Amino acid sequence: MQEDIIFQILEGHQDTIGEAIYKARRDYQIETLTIIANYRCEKPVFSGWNMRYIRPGGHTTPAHLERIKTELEPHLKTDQPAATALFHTIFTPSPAIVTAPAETLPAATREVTADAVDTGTDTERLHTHLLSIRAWPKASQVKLSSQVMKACALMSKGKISYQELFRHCLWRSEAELTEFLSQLNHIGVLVFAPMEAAASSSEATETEPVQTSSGDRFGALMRKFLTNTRLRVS
Amino acid sequence: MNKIYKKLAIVGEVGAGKTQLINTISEISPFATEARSSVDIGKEFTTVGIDYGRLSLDEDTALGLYGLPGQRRFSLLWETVRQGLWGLLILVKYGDGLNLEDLEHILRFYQPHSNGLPVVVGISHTEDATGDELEVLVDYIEFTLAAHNLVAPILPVDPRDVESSIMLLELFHSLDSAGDIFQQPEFVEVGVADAS
Repeated sequence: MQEDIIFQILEGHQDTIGEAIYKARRDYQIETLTIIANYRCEKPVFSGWNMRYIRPGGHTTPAHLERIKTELEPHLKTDQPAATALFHTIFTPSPAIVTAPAETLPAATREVTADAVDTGTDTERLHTHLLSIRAWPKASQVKLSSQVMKACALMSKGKISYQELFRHCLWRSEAELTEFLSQLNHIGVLVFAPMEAAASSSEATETEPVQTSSGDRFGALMRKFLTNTRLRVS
Repeated sequence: MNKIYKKLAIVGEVGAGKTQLINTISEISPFATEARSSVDIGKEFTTVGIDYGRLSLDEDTALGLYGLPGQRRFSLLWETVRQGLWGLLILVKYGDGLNLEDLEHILRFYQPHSNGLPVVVGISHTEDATGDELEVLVDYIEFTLAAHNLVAPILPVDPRDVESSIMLLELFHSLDSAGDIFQQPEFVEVGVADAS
């Protein structure tokens, strides 16, 4: 444990681990869950280790931490900045290992679930943060209309502002979009991120018109096909 | 005008409904490589190779539909559609227990996150599933996808039903369009890359 971070290593059959992760993700006491390494091993690596309390500053602490760090480091999810940053937050970084600037490390863990943002009303938060989703809503939770599909597709690809969502997803009214986002918030899949990054994008120089590509033509024809087919089916 | 041909890979285990789905969407009679099953799998014929169907959007533009077996030993077949993929549909048959290893192999093979490839997971044969059972299955799949940095729609599908099948295409279209929007210059600075 370090401050409000709990670090845990699970060893076992993948189905058992999957079940444990599933339960942990539903635990209301856990704000975010990040998997920093996930790999297969033929025999238990930490066999013989029991739960123990390692006192900060205790004389055995560095050796324990070093062993865990040495074991996990080669398996880090290097393609996930958040996982790498969290790893280095947990283990005192060695200058030889940390390649990212230190000031960037906490940023990746700054994303919080909607519930954890305690400033402003829900509607204000929607306008003052970038939005993304940690999972698509289940079919039993939200009806997958065209707007919902577009909005979820955008928020699953990256962080996007409320205004951009409204612009791209063809909502009939802001009230509809706000209600939908509140629903995602209630389900617990909506993720808020600070808006600073958006400032740099709005300051970006004039945007070039998007070139008409084969992808655009394909997309336009697919949209036409879907619209016509929907009309026929209904 | 240049011809555009894109591919939709439909990967799934025996009996998941790949052939049926292609049958529902395709404008042509699917080229199926079916053979009489030598073991009891609940149906007489099963696919032993690739199913192929096509959806023409205009005379120069088409989507190829490729049904591929989900087991790892068929990864040679997966390779044949890797180029020009528009989307990856993973069909999971409800009721047989989720084969996480096969799912892992498919994701490792296509690496959708790195390749920006839209993924949808469809769960078939859910008629007798209770809401809770389905939710647990969805959670397992969601967890596996998250390990590959993927946030993808996971939904029940009925490959026999036109509306259900068309909804899958609409999801792919939405995901594909979202990818294009994030590639526009105004979005580049926002740091889409660290969406994980």
